[in-house]
Amino acid sequence: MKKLALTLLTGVLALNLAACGSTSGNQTDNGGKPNQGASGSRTYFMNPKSIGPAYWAAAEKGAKKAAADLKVEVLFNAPTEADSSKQINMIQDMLTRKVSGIGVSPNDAKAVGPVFKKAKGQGVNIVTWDSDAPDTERQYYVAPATDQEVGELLAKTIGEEIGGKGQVAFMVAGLGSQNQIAKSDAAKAYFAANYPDIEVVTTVASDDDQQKAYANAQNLLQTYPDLKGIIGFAGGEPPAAAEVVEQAVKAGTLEKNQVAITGIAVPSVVKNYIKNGTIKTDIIWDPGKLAYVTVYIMDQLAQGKEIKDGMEIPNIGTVKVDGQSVFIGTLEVTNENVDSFDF
Amino acid sequence: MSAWASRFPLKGNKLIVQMLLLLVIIVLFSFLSPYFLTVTNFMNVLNQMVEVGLIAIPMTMIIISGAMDLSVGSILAFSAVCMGVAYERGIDIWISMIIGLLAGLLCGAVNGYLIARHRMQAIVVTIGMLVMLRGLVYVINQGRPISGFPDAFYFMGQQYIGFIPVNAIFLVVMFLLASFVMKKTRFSTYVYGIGNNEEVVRYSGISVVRIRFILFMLSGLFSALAGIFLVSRLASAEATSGTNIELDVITATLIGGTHIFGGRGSLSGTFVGLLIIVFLRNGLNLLGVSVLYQAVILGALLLLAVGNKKFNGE
Repeated sequence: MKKLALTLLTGVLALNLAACGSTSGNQTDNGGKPNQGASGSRTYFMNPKSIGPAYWAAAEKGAKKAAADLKVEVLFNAPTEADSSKQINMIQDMLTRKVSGIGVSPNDAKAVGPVFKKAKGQGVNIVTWDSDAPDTERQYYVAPATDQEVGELLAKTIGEEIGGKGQVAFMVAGLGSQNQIAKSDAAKAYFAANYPDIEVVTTVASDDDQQKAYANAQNLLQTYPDLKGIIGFAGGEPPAAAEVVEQAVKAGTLEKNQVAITGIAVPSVVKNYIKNGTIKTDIIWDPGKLAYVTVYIMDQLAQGKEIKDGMEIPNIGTVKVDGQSVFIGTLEVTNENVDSFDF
Repeated sequence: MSAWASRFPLKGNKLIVQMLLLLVIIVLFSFLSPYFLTVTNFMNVLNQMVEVGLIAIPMTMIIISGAMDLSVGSILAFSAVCMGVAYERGIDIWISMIIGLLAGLLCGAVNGYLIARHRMQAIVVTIGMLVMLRGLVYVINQGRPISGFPDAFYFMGQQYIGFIPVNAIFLVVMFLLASFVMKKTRFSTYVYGIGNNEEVVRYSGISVVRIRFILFMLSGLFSALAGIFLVSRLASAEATSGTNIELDVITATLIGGTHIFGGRGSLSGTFVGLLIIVFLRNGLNLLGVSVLYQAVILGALLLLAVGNKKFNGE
């Protein structure tokens, strides 16, 4: 009991210290406020879903580039696993640091609600990127394009490649994931409207598991011998499909170019398949550009500037603004330009 | 006799060493970051440590008794999701909360039954539960987060009394209660006894099975409590919540001076250990240190603590 009392006493002392600290902290804060508008003193926190995957590493490069170009400080950090509560702890910590803006790619769109509300109360701008949290106090959402646009683009690409006729299969990361549902529904609607002779035979899900995606692709070729095309709606699907098709061609069970493949994938992962002609067109956006634009938007907001449709972002180009969403646009990766991407 | 006599002052020393370490961390970060030593930040840290802290209470007792519970993170998620699903089905939020607690208690009872009654290895049983319950969580909610709880429920995780978070007050009260139990009751003597020499306790006519069973039940209950506080704080019950939380809990316990093979340790030590890891993480976050380095620093600290214990205790 004595030890416990001692512990509590230390705690109380620490709190006392904290209380003293807060007054001095406030003073420096007040003193620092006029400087807030000048460049160089603004700090932004960029918070991806996790640290580790190549996609986020590419985003970090873009965020750092934006920091250098705009002469602001950018902290890029996230938990090592895509964990919502750890992510929120980190956002809370950054709110005490009084950053000028926070760019979040939320792991859980609902769970970030309270912390976003707190941020707004403190006058910190929140911009979501890559993944949205609608129904929260976030200011803007930076995305490559609407799910509908991406879905339609994929459907259009495959429709043209197979001549508007035949069986097509969908490969998605998760059946329950909102962005996957929206994209595949848009693709289906596009087929129904423009290519009535295309039949979507099935939708298979890999749950973001590369081996499962691979097995799914093998099963598709077995089950549907007349299959003409495959659309992969997430980063892991097109390479899995391409690998399986190339192996089948090599084994002689499939003719070359019998099955067309398109989808969303990072260029470096599908480079060889594009060069071999297994994938003709791949759709992607630049995660670095996505992060760059997010930092830029936060910087504009912190300076009280307006976000306008068609606004020109230095080093990036124009962006489309629709309501609270900012779209940077997608890229088509083909044999001609596949070597020009560095991610 | 002399061994006993010399052990006690050393035990006291250990706590002082830990508190000095905590003080060094606090002073260090106060100099490094102007945002660290503020009431808001301290309250923030208290608010964040509650889930790990609640689970650390029974974990300390279990480790003292010479066992370990690795399933706490999964029990946390299981209880949280059970509560969420119950609420979604239209059951009153407070009754849903009790359902969540019962779910946790049930998991703890299964652990306790297998470990105490059938004398299975605690680590093996709880790893099994860790994997199985996490799977069950995904089955129950199909991987999608559950949210939209009533505002009254968020009182527990998001509100402040004065300027102190409600959940932090709850945590401190729980620690005081548990510390009292571990100092003043016969139960604690049995727990330390089992950790030191299980056979002797059994031959003294005390039911080791019952003590172990109670310990794992407590662990399940506190994990469920942590789950409910987490849901209240984050306003969302999701399948991934509590992943790897057992690592944080055990790290705090070990830094707090509890011996991994049991027999020695204290809740006050665990509380200080807890403060050390949360302040360290918070301070590093405030400085903008990448999580990758944070993991390295935390691991190094654990090695230091364990090394220090060997120096002191053996």
